[in-house]
Amino acid sequence: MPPKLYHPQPTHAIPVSNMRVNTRYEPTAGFSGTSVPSVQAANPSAYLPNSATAQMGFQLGKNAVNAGQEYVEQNFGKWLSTTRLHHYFTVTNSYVVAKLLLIIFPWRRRSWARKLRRSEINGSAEGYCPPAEDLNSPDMYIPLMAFTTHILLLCALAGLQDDFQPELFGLRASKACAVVLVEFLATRLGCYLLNISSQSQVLDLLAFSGYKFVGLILTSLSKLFEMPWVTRFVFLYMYLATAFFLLRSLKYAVLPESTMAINATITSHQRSRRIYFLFFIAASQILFMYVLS
Amino acid sequence: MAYYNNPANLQYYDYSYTADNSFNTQSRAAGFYDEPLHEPLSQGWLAAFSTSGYPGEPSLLEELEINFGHIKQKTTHVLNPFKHVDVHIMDDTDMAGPILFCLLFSTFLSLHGRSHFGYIYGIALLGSLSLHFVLRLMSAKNLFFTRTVSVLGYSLLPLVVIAFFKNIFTFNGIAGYALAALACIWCTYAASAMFVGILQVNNMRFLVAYPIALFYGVFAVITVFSK
Repeated sequence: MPPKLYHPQPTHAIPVSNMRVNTRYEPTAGFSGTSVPSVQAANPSAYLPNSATAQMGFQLGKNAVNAGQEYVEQNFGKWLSTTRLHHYFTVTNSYVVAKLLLIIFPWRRRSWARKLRRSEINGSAEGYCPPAEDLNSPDMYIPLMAFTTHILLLCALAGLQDDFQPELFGLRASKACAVVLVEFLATRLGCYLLNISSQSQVLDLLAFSGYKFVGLILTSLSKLFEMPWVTRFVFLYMYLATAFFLLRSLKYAVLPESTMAINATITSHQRSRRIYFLFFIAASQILFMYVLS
Repeated sequence: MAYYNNPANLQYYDYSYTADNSFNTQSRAAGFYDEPLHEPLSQGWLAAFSTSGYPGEPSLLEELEINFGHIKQKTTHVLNPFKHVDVHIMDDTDMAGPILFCLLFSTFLSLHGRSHFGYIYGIALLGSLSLHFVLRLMSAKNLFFTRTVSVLGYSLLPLVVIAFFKNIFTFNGIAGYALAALACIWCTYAASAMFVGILQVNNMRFLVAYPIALFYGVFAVITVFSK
């Protein structure tokens, strides 16, 4: 008899159902204390005086949080995005070996254009291929390793000459960071003055700036032979190789490809100035490498 | 006296040492709720200087989470790098071993010459942060900083031995340089084996090992050339 009385009631009036549920559970509260929180949790809306107002408040808070997140992502995401950094560290053994050989012997390579990653759905271009798939793509693994190896090698050479101090690590690292920063700022200033679009990423410039440390490592290793002409020859050769490598790599960052629409707006005067800017970047490497060696 | 003569406490200690961490935590939680305190704390001046406490209280080593069995196991693994690497050997990332080895390294260096404690700790912290950053970006799996420090710290042991022997022998020669380089390679091999197991990047073993070699190379240079 009691189930028949309870069954049709919820379909008519919800408040009456709440009252009956409370009435049903009230005697059991005396047996164990655990059922009291469940009763309260079962009916959260009963304690909110106006659920529409609460929902509006939640929505406003959610919009504010989303706006804040979008602001942070727009300002810092393009610089320090983990996904973007992960792209530069997607390397393989074969890529690293081939890239090192390319930096040391860049003369015979024909194609320096970067591959575009095609979408599987509609075939449209969505950025460049990662380093693991394209030898022309810059990475951040080789620059970082070359940077650290360069500092370690300088300190070890100082130790071999009985001139080692633990402070050397900090001094050499600060000097190298300062040179890289100066070069980066000069390049960005040149791109800004020549009205070069921001297709070249910040990390691309840092990566290309870091490749010179490969040549500096070979120059430092050549000092072990203790023959000045060997060191000078290695230094000059690695400067020419690094300048050539930068000239061919940065061309596609400074001079857009002819297939792009931006090329139509570039006059021949602007193009020649950009070519001079490229040569200036390549020529200035001898100054940076000399300061760092 | 009653604290040590209580057989329930002794059984609790034997039981907790054999159990794993999760079950140990569960048994502690159960004890907190289900077993009321039978004996209140003694009061007075004499009780303040005694070693007794609450019955069933875990020992100081357990509260500090220092597990000498695990420290010994990881140290043995570093000393024997050709043994198969258990992927879960570094699941509990303790910091006692790394701090102990770093302290020993600095102490042995300071016995020989000028004290370099600040540089050792600074380079260790900066190097481990940088390595953690690089290894995280090279792998798709998640890596916690404490685990990175734990692996790097335990693998420092061969260089600690070199720093100890620097007080006895001289390292200014080809033999000394070769021995330091060998210790550096040993550290790198042990650490890279563990990192490859953790990060599941078997096809990038050399790429993972090279920054680790740079990290230990800095300590090797400090060991050999500091005076």
